[in-house]
Amino acid sequence: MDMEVKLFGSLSEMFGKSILKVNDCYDIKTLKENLFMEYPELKNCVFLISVDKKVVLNNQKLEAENEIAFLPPFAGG
Amino acid sequence: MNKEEIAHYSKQLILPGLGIEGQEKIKNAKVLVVGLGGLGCSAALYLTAMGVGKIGVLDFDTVEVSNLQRQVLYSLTDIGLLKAEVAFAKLSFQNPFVKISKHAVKLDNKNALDIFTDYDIIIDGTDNYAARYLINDACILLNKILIYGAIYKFEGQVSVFNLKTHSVLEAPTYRCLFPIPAAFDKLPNCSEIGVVGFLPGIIGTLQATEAIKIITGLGEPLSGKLLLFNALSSNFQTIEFSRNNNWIDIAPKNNTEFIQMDYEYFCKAPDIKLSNESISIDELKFIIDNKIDIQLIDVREPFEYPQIHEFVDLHIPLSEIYNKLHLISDNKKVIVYCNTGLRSKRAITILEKEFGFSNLHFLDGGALEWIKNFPN
Repeated sequence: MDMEVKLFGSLSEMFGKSILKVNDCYDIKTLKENLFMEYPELKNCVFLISVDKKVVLNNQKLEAENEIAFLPPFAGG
Repeated sequence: MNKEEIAHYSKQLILPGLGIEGQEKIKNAKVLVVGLGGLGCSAALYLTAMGVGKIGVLDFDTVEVSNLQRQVLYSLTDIGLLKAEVAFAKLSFQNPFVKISKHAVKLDNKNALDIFTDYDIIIDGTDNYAARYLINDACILLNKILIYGAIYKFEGQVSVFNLKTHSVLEAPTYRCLFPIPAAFDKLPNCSEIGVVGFLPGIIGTLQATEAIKIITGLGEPLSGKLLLFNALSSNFQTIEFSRNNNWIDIAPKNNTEFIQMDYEYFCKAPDIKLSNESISIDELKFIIDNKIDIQLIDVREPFEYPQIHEFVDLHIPLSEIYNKLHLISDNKKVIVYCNTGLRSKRAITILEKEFGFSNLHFLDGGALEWIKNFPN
């Protein structure tokens, strides 16, 4: 199952792209675990996860058509 | 409103839904703009132009030449002057029907509650996480509406926090979005990473827009919604979020706790590398469920939340660790925890390097991660 994760702010900069391609992530937990394994520096970042434009707090199943985003806080003013 | 005011605001008075009644509401409103940088300047300009009756302008800093490409209240002749003073003079001149109050102070947890009391709506135009958590927590304690705006390079975020209505008694707050400060990111602020002049203009104007919507009752405020703007793709989108009481519980509960809270410390960005000396919350859950004999130590200060009912723990705040060494087991497995894992890691470093402990582990994600997964 191929999926895309949209990256915002400092995260898109960290990866040098605004979309991460991931596969075989059937829920948020696996998605995080896989990405943490592949990009350990992500473990030290604070960000929100949204699925279909709603912030998710707990683990939930993911489908290929879900729109996933990682949103870090901004502090600039 | 007198004849002059009616003439002054005539273009917005004829708008459906606003009218004299809406303008009266704007005139009676009291809005505080915290931080007179890019966001604060543009928000304050429009709130003043539209006739918000009382506007507070708060900033401790002085105008620098590098501010001028985005902080549109200031000119070359203002360099070195206090931003609050310049803003006060410019805004008072801009609209004589508005009362501007200046606060040329650094906002902290000793003065925030006193200053905020006089206003209905607080606009957060600050440039650091410590101030943002402090403002959020003060607004929760005083029941003030908070309009959040923040920028990063070409992107911006806007939301409305703590907006309680007759149907919504418990509104989302900043802590419901970001319970943990972005400490590990060690992100520099605008002045270090660069900022494009128009972006705070747009985001600050959106904050003023939310204020006017809330004051007049027009439209739908961004409560429970995080608005994201990307200037390069010209894209706006909103993400929905809800109130999370577990995370609000971590905020100070009363004025005393608020005054004791060290926001700078809470948001500090020390180096951290997760190693195999960490224990996951699932591992700790297993240990507790199976009554495995370990020692659990809470290194948070006494006033910190959340308290976790399942934990039978020893409480040794990091600040007292040198005096309570004798209480720490040197033969059992010891799990040290705090709210995120940062301070426990620091405690372990001290105990290992200075006192030779080798049986210590820290709880990865700390009490916050625990409460997120296993609510009390």
